[in-house]
Amino acid sequence: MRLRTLLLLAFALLALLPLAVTVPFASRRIEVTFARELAARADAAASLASAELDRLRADVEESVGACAADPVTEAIALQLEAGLPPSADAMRAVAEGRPLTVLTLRDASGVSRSSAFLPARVGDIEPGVSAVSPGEPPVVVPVEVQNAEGVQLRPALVAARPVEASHGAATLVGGQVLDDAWVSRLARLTGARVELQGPGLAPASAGSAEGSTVRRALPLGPAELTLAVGSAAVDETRATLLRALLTAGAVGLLLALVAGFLFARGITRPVEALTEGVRSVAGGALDTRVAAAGSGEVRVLMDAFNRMTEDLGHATRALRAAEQAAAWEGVARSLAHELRNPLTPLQMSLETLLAARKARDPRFEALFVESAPAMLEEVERLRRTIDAFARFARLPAARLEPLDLTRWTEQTLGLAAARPGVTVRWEPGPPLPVRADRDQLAQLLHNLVRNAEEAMPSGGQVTVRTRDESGRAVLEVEDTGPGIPVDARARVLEPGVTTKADGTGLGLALGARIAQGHGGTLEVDTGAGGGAMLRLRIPREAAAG
Amino acid sequence: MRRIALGLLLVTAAPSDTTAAARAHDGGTLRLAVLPEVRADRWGDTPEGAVLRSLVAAPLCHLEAGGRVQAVLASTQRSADAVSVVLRTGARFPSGTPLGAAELARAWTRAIERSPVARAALAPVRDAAATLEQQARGRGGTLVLPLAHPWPDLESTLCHPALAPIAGEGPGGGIGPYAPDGADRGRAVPSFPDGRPHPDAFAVTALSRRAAQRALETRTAQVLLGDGGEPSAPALLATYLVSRPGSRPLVALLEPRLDRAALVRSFVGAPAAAMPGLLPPALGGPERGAASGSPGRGSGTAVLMYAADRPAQRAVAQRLQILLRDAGVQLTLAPRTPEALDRDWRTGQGDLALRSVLLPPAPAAALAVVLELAGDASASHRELAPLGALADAGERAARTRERALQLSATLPVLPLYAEGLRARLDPALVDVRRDGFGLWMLDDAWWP
Repeated sequence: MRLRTLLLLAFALLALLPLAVTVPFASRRIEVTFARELAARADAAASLASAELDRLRADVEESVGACAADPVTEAIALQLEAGLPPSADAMRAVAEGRPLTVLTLRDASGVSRSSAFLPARVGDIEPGVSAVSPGEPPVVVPVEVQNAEGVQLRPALVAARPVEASHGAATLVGGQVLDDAWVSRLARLTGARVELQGPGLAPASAGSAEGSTVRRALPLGPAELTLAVGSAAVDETRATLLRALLTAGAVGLLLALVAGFLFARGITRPVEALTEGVRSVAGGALDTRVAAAGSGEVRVLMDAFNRMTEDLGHATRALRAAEQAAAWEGVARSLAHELRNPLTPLQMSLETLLAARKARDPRFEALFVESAPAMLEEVERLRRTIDAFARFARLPAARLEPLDLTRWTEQTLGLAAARPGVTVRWEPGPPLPVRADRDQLAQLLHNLVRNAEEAMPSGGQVTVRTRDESGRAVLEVEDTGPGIPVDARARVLEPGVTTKADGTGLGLALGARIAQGHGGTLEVDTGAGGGAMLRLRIPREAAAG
Repeated sequence: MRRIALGLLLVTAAPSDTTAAARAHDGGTLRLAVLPEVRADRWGDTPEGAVLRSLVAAPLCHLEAGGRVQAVLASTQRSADAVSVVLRTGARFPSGTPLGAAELARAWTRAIERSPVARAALAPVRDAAATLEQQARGRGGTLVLPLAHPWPDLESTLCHPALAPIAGEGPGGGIGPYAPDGADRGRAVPSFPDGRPHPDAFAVTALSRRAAQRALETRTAQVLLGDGGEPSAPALLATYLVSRPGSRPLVALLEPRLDRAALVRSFVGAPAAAMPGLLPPALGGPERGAASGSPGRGSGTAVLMYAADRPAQRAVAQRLQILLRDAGVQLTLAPRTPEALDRDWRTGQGDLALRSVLLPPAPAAALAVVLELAGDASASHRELAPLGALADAGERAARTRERALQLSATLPVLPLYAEGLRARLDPALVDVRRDGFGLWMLDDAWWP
């Protein structure tokens, strides 16, 4: 993992660590606080509901008392006492304008005789209502509520009061049904979800309590009033706080990453520059200098690197000059050798002819005729040697053009005729697009093949193959000759170095120069059969299209 | 005729201050106070509604309390197997169209579509619908009603308010002693075939019960419709609980719990009578029912349709709902307008229905209405033909009562109660008589 990445991770961890410690703790504290708040709200709702029930009891008590003393009620009761049944809904006139939803006049036996809200029950003992005793505080009992859909049992807060004028013949029972409307009002008042239910009673509910809830139950006779306070609002507040904490954490993390990036860059830039410089030096660029900003030990390291590359450059240049001098020495030695070899017989032939001429040797003519061709041959040899050196020295810059090395090699080999006794085996590889100078490449191939043929004076096989090697095009020429000794391989590509008796030592050197001009290399190796193998490696072009 | 009689009375009566002061005279406005439910009864299906409606939509004839038929818009002539309705000249609709046989046929075609009483009244007519359709295309002033079987009560039945000729689809457009003059008023029609009514006009005011009573007490109104009534008057508005064949178990659950007297006392109110038999006591039906078995229990749900604008029906429907709840059945109440109630019941809606019908005063004709409510046309013909064959009215009535008792066990019709006319009059109002249906005839009314 890179240093910069490590530094960034370290900064991120430092930013996240406080958040990871703080958020759970804060969340727990918020939860505890809000749970207390929720319980307090539920208690408050229960208190409000109790207060509302107390107010309702007082209203019912007052209203029923007023109804019992109403002249209309007294008249109906007297009518009842006299044995004249009132109409089923005669009590409606009494209920008008009063906050009652239950109002029934029952006789001494508990039978409903007139009802403002359930006249259909007149003549029967009305369930629930009959159980209420006169004079008692209002109580919750189940009463029948009738509508078009049917008859339901609902809890009602009712009170019974005797109608004094009837001398005990009639009792008035009145109150309020704790119906959907009342439950809805209670839900609005308390802000809680209110449920009113009991065995056999039609359930009523209103309000909402989302999230986890806290409940409080109030027993109401046959029913139970449940108030539920939901944690939705609390959850929302908690979520908002947590969101704020996480947002702060995210911003902190972002700032830490930016700071970490800047800090890491300050540290890693000189290191990266040094790394790049080392790579450049390794690639041969000895004049590389590291110029990145830095301080302290990093600055010292960079200065040392720059001094080292400077020293290395000086040493390399000196070495190269020495190598050049040595190469020139070799060339001069080779040239002297090549020139001296023909000059000695030439000199000896001329001295022989001059001595014969001076001595008026009668064999002069014969000697002249005999020596002149040999002398001309030596002159010719001198000329060839000089031409070879001239070609080596005047090799022009390569004119690169795109070609398929495999196809080009096949065509070029087809034009060449092998020496007697030598067979040329062609092993084509895949299409190898390269950029190359056709003439120089032809000269190189010619030199390599001729070199192989010359290495096998008694005949053999020359194998030419092309292949792809990791993005480089390779051309190999292998012979079945004696091969090149290992100790000569390092020098055989130098000018003037040859293992052959009559070689100039420039063929392979020229090939190495051509390979270099194409951005490639020429290597000497041993073939599978022990013969010499010369391998050209040049860059391969990306396939078109 | 009325004026001639009045003139003779004036001529023959001994002159005195009292009679001189009470002499009938034209002029003035007859003021009526009506309860909202009477105003809502646009077709005059209840006795009160029929009285109010008769001011602008007179029936073909008046059936007097003694049973005599007095022609108003038409007289009848009987042949061996048909009854001809001969329309009086001068009877014109408010639009000016004279009342002819075709107009009457069309009016009755519409009547049998909406009224079980009209269907029952014309049931003895051979293929009544086709006959009316055929005569609706003819011209002339006589409508011939061929009889499917002998039916001596047809002439009296034709006087039923449900058969009053009406032009058009709505309840307006009848021929009465008054012509509508706005929504709440009517003006006397001088050319009314039965003679011009004494008042020049009438005015109707819809009031609450208490306000209407006060209006009558203060003589702001002369007639109150919807409150009061005389217990001795015939109670012919009979209410039945009709049921589908599949709902008979509900009726069986209900009957033992049903106290008709208490129902009348607490929920219907006077003038009304419990009706344990298919015929009301006013027509000789039984006054006390047979003892029912012990109440059983059931389950399930049912729908009861009733007329929404009839307070008594609503109260009784709610009582039935309570009684069936005690029996374990949940009853849903479905209020309907009277027109919709008849239509929906005939198209198969609901399990039970409360049906109130103003019965003709003849027992056989009343039984025909009950059979029509039962909805079995073949049973209707089977039962009515033997009764119609009895020429003697007394014998026919007695036989009808016997059959009604027998049929009450099988017909899907549970009799509940019968109501009379709920009305009160200003004591100063003179010449207000009841007809055979127990309805007041207000067109003769006058006041000193």
